[in-house]
Amino acid sequence: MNFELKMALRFIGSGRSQTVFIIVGIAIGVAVQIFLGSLITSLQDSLVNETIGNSSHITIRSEEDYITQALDEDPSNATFFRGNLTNGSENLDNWAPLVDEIKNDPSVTAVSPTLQGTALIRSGGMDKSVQIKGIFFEQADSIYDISPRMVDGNPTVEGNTILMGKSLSEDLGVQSGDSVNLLLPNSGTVRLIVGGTFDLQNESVNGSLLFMDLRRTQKLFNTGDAVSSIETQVTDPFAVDIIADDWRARLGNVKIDEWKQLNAQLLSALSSQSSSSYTIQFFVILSITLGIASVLAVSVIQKSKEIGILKAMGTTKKSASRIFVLQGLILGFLGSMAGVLAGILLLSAFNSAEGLSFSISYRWSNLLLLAGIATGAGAIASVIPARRSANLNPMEAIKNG
Amino acid sequence: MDKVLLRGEGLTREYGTTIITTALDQVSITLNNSEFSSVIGQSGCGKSTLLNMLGALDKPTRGTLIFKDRNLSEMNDGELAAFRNKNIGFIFQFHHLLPEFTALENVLLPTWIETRTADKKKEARAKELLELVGLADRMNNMAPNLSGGQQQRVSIARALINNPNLVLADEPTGNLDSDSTDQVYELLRNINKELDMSFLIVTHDRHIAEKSDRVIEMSDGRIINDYKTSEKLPEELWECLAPNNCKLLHPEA
Repeated sequence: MNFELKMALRFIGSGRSQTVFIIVGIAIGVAVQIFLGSLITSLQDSLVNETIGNSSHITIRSEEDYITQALDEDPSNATFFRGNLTNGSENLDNWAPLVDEIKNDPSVTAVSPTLQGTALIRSGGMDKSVQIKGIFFEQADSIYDISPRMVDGNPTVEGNTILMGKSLSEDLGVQSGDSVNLLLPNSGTVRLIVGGTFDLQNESVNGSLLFMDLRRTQKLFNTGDAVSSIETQVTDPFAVDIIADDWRARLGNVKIDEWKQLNAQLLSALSSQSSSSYTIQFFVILSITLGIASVLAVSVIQKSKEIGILKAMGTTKKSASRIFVLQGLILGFLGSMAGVLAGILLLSAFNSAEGLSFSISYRWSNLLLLAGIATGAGAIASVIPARRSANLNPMEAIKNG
Repeated sequence: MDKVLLRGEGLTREYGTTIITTALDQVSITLNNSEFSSVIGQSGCGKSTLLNMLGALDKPTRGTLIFKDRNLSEMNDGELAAFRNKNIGFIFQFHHLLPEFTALENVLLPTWIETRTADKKKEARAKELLELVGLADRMNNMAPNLSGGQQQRVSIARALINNPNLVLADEPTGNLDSDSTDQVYELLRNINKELDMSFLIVTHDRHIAEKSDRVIEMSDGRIINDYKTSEKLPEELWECLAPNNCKLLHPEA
């Protein structure tokens, strides 16, 4: 074994209580960092997942604003008022090539062309305003996760068979298999069969949404082949701005909205949460560093005689300082490892507690990063003690008996 | 004629910046191969300073120091450290073993410093040396579990491990009882003869000085007397070695 490493290990081993105290100190610091870091990350993940987990990350719409168009057009010919189709954009007519183009992007996990519209549902003498989403079921399913969240019935849409939000079905008093009447603006009544009900864990969605086959929806709203938007999900929701910019450049005349724009407030809350977490972590590292530094400073004084004798026997300044840098590294490393262990125990204790709305997960890369930083802090902490060791005068040390 | 091992000329060591204390004052000294010399003198007369300087632990403020053909005054810290490691063996009054290590490991320390790793050959040599100092059965004891005399013998073995040309001992028996003193002295003397190493021993002990080849007496940072013991009659020598007597005998020095 390397001479300096051997010295460092023996020095650490000889001051046993000092060593134990500082390692426990580092371990507590690292465990707190791990717990806090994982808590914040998991909390944010769960918030973000709640916000965008089952919705479109990037939505492509027509660039043209249809209200402006409506004013330009002859009002007598304003057919697009029928069914109040969209929230302000013109429909996308030539959407199929767009879908093909997007599907080729490796970061995309789901693409679903959607035609959205509103109508009234009449059942048992009651009228309710509903949102209709015309979809290809499989494609929409991969965004909205409808199948696993069916309350009853079959997870599919076909022809006049639709899926209905759970609260809406309760309000209307219908069950799967029942039929309801859909009242379209200016186009009379269509009879639909409720193929099943779903619970998307969002009250406003459950209370107003219908899923319908896209082709059928297009026919009902008389939009030809057009859709109102293409909804997509990507692998890394936080990279949507980059992906969206890329699409803007590639796809041309379309309007592209990413979820980040629409949730700016949430994101700024998350980022200030993150920065306060980083601040705490910084100060934890700072106190770890100071702790190691003070232990090593005391150790240099305790070991001054030994360092003196080592120097008399030919140990160089560099070597004498390296002994203490290694001690710093070793203390940092042992403390970090104990801290990682304690942190994981803390997390599993937290996760096994009852009544939690989410569980904290941790990433090994993160744990190793924190351990690495604390180990590095050990090396930084050792700088001053190491320098003192390097400059220690062997004659002084030996003379003092 | 003895072969010259080390030659110092006009060695001066001053401490302090505003108030200058001169610990060594223009000392010129020559050490020969295989010589067993004692340095005597009252406390604070510069004995240890001289020893540290000859051992390249300290640099002279002025003067030159030539070891064999190498000018130590011109070496940097790193070169001096390597020089000490290979050429000088130190034995101190307060044993200075490292308490975290066994007797054997303490003896091996200088070899670790030299090569940075352990070496089987050196380990065999260390065992031989521990045998030589009579501690074959204690080599795996931790340093603090040895008696004072045993610790000093370990530190002698440690001083010898790298086969130095010169062994410097600063009151090696100052901390030992008279039995241990005799043992240690005999040991040093034997090694001097067997391994053909030069010894320079700072001592307060008249018995040790008496048995050396050469006596160097210091006072106030200067060498005031330097003679071979064989040149004097036993009674005369004993008188000389009595504290302060030399000055009375040789007032002109």
